[in-house]
Amino acid sequence: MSQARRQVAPEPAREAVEGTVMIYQPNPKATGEPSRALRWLRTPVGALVPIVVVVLLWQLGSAAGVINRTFFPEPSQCFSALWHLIRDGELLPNLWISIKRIILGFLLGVIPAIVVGVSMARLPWVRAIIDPLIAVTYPIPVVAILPLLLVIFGTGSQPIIVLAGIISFFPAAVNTMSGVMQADERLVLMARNLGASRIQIMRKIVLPGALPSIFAGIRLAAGLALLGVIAGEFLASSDGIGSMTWRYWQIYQIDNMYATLIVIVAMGFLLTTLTLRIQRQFFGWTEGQK
Amino acid sequence: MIRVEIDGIAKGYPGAHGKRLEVIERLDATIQPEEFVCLIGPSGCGKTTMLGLLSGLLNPDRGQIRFIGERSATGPLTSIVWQDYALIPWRSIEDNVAFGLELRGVPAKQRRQVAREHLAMMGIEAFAEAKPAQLSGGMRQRAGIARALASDPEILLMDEPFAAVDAQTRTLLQDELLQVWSTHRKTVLFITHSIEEALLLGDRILLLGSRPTRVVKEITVPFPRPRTRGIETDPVFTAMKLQLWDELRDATRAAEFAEISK
Repeated sequence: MSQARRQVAPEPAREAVEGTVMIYQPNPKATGEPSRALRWLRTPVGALVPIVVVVLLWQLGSAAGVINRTFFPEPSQCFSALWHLIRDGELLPNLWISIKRIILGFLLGVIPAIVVGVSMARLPWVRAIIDPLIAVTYPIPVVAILPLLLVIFGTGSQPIIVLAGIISFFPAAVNTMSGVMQADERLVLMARNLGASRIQIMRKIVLPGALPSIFAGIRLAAGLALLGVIAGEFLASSDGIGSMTWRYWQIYQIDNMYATLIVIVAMGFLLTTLTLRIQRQFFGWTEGQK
Repeated sequence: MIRVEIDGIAKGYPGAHGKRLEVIERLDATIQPEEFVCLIGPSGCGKTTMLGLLSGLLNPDRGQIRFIGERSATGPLTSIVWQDYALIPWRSIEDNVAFGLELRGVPAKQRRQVAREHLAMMGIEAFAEAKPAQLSGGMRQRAGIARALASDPEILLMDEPFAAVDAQTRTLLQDELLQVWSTHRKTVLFITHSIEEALLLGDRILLLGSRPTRVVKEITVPFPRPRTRGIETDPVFTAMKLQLWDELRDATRAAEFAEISK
């Protein structure tokens, strides 16, 4: 709304009554609303400003020699290296290999995780048996078992996919279990009172109620699948985006290394925004609840 | 037309220090078809336990509850109007109201129609598409009543349904319930803390004592139907209110001291 349209008739002047100790009256400066500049900074476009500023400072700093160019080459140089890697046909095939590994590893982890999570929550026997197993295996830094996976699966995509699968399994399973276990008991009673069968209670009350929690686990799992694939490719792969990063570090082509890092960051960013978007779309009802 | 005979019901729960907490000791009562019975008593006296027993969600330790007569409604034996509404948060109000019908496989078109009728009856058809979180407590409870009635039970069980809404809204809801009940006669068991509410709504009031609970007093409410809030100025209303409070006061005090010693 424009300022002009909000104008109102001027108020008649008020005289302070003699002996007035304090006056509370409207203060046009203290509206309590954020200023226009602050509001703009919070829009998706405005949010780019701090990022662009940092990149610009980096660019200027390393061009002027204030920043060590050996470790931090100018962003312009990194992006130009990125363009060359794309044009030479090296980057995209490797990127595609990594994306396939991430998707397969993610599915390999998440699908069993949901099955296990739901069974653990609903079947006390399954929980009693699997709980100790998870308690023992969860704290293991999963990357530590990569050599074992290499022994079992040899080299190539398989050990990397399995690594990503194992990493993404745990948060998905734990979140699914807790979501199903935290089913609203009042709603379960309500449904039973209206004659719901056990299957109906599961399908119409417990699972839909657990979906936000399950999806939170899926979001974590997606991020970890990316992490697992990149880490696996660093150490045990001759292809994929992670292996490119590692190789360019080893042959000391720092601008190419940065180029691959830009791609990895973009992948992570896309994953986060996409899953957040899905969450808002489908689980909006969880907002504004007690 | 179903008559409910509550015969020597007892119910307890495992309490602290391995002692068993006897909530209901030996409770007898009869509820006639299409009767509006109010259950009133101090906190913790087992009113909600009674509701669980009548709905079959809890099993009694001793005694029987018998439902006698021919079924005339199409839905479950009982359906509950919950104090905290118990609406499904991810469903629209309409889908909440239709939930009971959905559970027993009524086709979508038909249950939509029934839901709309009941929303209209409670005056909330404008909120059919809204989610529960968007509505005030009063609106949610209207939806809760609509859901219970739409499922077409023999007996409506109401568990302090207006306790969570503000006083003005409660007044409105009581008037609306009187109105709805005069056209849709159902057997109602209505649990409440409020003497005025029980006198305004009920045909009969069962006064429960402190734990372990039994029926301390049974009062027939003499006011004719259809009733309006006007009866609150009737001297008989005032006299009964005082008389009931006399009975309730001792039980309430006993219940409060029981809370401390627990």
